[in-house]
Amino acid sequence: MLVEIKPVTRIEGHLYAYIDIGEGGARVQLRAEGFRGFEKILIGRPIEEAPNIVPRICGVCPVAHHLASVKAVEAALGVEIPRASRMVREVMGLGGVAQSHLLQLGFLLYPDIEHGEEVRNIYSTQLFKMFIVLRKCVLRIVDISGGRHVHPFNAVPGGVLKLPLREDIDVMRTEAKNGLKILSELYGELRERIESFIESNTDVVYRRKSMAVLVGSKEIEFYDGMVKIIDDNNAELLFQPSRYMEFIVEEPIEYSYSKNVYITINGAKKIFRVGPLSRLTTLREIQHGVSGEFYKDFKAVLSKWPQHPLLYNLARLIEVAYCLEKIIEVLDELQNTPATPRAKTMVEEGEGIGIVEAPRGLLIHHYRCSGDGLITYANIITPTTMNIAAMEQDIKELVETLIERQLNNVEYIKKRVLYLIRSYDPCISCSTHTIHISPNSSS
Amino acid sequence: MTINIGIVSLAYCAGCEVAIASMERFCGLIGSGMVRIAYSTLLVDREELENVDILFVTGSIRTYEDIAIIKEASRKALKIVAFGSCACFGGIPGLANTIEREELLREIFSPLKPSTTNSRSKLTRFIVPLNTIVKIDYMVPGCPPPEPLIETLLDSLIYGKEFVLPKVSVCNECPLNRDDKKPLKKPRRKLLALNDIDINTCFLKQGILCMGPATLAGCKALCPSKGAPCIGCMGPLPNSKDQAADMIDALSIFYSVEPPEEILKAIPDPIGLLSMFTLPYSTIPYHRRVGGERIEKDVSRD
Repeated sequence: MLVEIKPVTRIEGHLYAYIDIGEGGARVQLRAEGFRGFEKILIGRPIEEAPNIVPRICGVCPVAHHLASVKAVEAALGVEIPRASRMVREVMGLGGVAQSHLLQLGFLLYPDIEHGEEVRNIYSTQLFKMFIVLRKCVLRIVDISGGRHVHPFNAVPGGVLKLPLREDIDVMRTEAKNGLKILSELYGELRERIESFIESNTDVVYRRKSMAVLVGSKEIEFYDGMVKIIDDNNAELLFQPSRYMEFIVEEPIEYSYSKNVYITINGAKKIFRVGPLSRLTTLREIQHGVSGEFYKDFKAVLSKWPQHPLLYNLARLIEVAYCLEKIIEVLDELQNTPATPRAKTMVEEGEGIGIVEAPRGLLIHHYRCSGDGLITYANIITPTTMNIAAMEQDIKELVETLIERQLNNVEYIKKRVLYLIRSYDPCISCSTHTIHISPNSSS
Repeated sequence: MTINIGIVSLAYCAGCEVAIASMERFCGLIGSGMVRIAYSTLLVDREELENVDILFVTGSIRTYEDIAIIKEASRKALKIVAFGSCACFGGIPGLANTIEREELLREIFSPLKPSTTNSRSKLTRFIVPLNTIVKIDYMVPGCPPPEPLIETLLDSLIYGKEFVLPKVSVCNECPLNRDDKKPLKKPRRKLLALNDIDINTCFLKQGILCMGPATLAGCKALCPSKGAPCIGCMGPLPNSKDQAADMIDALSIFYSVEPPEEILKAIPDPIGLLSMFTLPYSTIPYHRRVGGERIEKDVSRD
């Protein structure tokens, strides 16, 4: 039996799912289309332009690309940025994560948790309208800190172009507080719906997958930190972002314009998951008031259905609250930080790696530049690329379980596969931005 | 009456879709039933495009499948909008036009043996603007299209007002464009200029490349008004055939550089910096050849 979903809808990008079910089980191929070749486009460009070019990889998570890129440029040029500019970037990054999560929860997932309502009917519901107002609060924060929410431009090598003025900080804080208030009102109802959506899909138990996240001194780290891997046997590994090539390997896929990414731990090559579910699973607690409380709810659900991929959706909701609270904390600090926008930059030869937690997980930008500051090498690994192998594996486990239970109606299988894929919130434009540059040919 | 909109996305980033979906007015129009999204893989579930009143095309034309999709889709639409600079001019992905397709492919396939089961769509030799494939009714440029411009487009859809683009440059809308045009400093590389840039003074006066003079208005000079030099995302002015050539003109009026090659120190990548969004729309005749053959425009709508 062949199950084809062409195209996968309500996700970002062009994805076709091919599931071939035979005697030996299900063979799953996620075929990504929409190739553009950004890593090649970057070659020969002035290195300071990279943070302007790469947001165009993805209009859903452009902030993450902007920030990972500028960090890689600074690592290559050996620049340390002033504290205030780092805080502005943190605010921009947190806002970028929150707006992307709200886009997924509101526009992409919502019809599923509303049990397949028509889109038009959904846009006229009170809950959806509140979503839009909440998202607008977050967008204003990104507009001020990043310049513009789709394709921000405020971060430049050395810092930011413009530090927010006192009144800008006040506006952002008010928006964050308003957002948090709206979210608190929405939370109960949304949590209930998402939980019942998860519960109605828990007839399938998924195998444990390895996870990779960015970790800092405490809580969730989005802007900077070490990479932590917890594998499916609970073995842990911690490494500096600059060593990613030793632990994260990419392989091209014959049938797709994306690639497969694996982690290597203790000599074994493993598929892994990144993103909100991995971030909140590896975490112990959240110390902020509102998101700390929400997080306890998440933990309760997690203990019932550990690692169930549909928990991604609940994790997103919790993270939105966390981002808003963290934004308020960073803004309070920013107000009392010396207003230096940028450190001095020089044109020189170098190599740099920048890693951030994008809305969907780890995002790696890696550049080299020549003595005249032109890019000679670029490698970008996006979270969706990392998740593709885990998604295929989860789809395989899902479909095989359904078939085993004689639930072999094609439309039903399609529906369940779509729920699963959408829960990952894949960003296919991110995963196909790319071309393969093998480690041997790059040096 | 409900206006049926279809959104067909080619090689894209979804920034155009996010920009429009982020507007409360747009969501309100859907909620009230004035507008219906009949097709969009991002926003609705439908697998096939039906007949629509207006078709938004976003993204660049990168494969032969894209060309086929767009020809097919155009037969189902009363009007076609090239939405965003990728559809209008090729966009940033168009910078790949200076790279041999074979080179791109070699690097994708390098670790693999050639396969007969390959199911990926075949890349075209060059990225081309949408209007070389089908006749379009409106161009809404920008990366992403700026909100004021989308507002005008929505007005035209709902009230039937004719949608017209501005006819002036970004400088005409720029708050930093105040007094005389005398340069204060010689042209210099942006990376170095960042060390002493004054975000409240015209960037060109400070010797920093700003695409304002060669770029279409409509964004209310969004970037310069927030401290960033214009990178030209709105594309050229209406009568222009080449944004880069216009900018070279503007630079030559503004600065006198001797010897002229010295300008390359300030602008080390003229193709990337002067036509970041518009290389396929320039006087270099990419659009005449795609994949070695002459590209066939669908003239049924002309």
